[in-house]
Amino acid sequence: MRITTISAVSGSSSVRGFKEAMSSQLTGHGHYLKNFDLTQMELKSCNGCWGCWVKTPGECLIRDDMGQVLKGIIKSDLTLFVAKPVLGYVNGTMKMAMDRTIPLVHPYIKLVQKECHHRKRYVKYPYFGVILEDSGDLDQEDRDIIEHLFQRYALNFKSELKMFRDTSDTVMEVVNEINNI
Amino acid sequence: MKLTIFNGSPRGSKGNSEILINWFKEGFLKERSGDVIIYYLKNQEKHPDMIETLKRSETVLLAFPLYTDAMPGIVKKFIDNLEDYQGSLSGKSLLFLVHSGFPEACHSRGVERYLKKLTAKLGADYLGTIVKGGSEGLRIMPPMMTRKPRLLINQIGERFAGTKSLDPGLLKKLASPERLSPFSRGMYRFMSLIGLSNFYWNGMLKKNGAYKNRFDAPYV
Repeated sequence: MRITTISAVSGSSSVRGFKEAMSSQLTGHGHYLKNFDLTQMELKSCNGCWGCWVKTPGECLIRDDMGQVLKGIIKSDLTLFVAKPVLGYVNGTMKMAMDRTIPLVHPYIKLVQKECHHRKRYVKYPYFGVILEDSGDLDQEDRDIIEHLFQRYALNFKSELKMFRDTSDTVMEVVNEINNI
Repeated sequence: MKLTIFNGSPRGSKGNSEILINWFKEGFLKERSGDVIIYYLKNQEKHPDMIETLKRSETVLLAFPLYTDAMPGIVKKFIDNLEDYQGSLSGKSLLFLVHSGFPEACHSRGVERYLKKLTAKLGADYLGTIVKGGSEGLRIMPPMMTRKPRLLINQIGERFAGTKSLDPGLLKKLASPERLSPFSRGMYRFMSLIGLSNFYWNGMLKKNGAYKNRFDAPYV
């Protein structure tokens, strides 16, 4: 399986070590991994111009490193967001990258599950997964909120959130779950 | 009551958040003349100063468009700056305004839940969230077409200035439809069949000479 990981965590974060150990094991299991560390990339915020929908369909007008990430997402079977939550949600850098994924969908609207959602631009989208750093300050409600927001995010791609884990799980448990997707 | 407003739109003062904020402000100032000041989170280099302003404010309105089912990245960057102030904003009151291009309010309910929890983490009082769907295009619509939401948001602002609370009945009216009714879904399908549902986007695609490329998929 082709797996893309997207992380926006500093060097001292425990989820970073978790991701490295997981990546190594997943490679050993025959998966092909592509990792994007947003902290090492040039990434600007979406300015809501919608050029990616109405000027250069499918491509953002901002020329920075996000194009590589979009390619990595769309070519993957599973895209994993690796995040250290700040005040109960992914940090601003990760959210900026998530905003910049709108070129992957079309501006036209379709009814999906009786709701309006964007039409697909690509035939196939990856499944999504989330691995959070468990630093002890997230309660069950925080987790439910984050999971729900990612489920909604996945629905906009007509995909699914297949995995929602944190670093209190073992690397082996996470790798086994990915192997079963 | 002094009201500090943070406009979280990446489009700054040229977006739909600005229009909705101004409608709220119009109503607010009818009931209570006083200081209302607006800051723009688009100016990220000024976030540290804006955090200081927030810490000094009594009542704060944070308004933003829905981006990928939550707040725009620049708004989350602003929120991240408050990490060291957990539990220390007691005595302050926060309210929010979330709007989206989707016609239904249900898309904004997830982030509304987050905002309530965030306010609790900060130790402030949560006054509620104003949710408005169908906001894309407000900035280009003639005043006649925006009269109804403008009046409703005026009323919400006016009541807020008088009571320091958001009227649940008015919020519900503004948010309607929460979900599309079977009739609306049928109408939407019919409009899609005759090609009317994409009128807005097709107009812009054609204007930019990009219509023939509208289904491009450059990353495969």
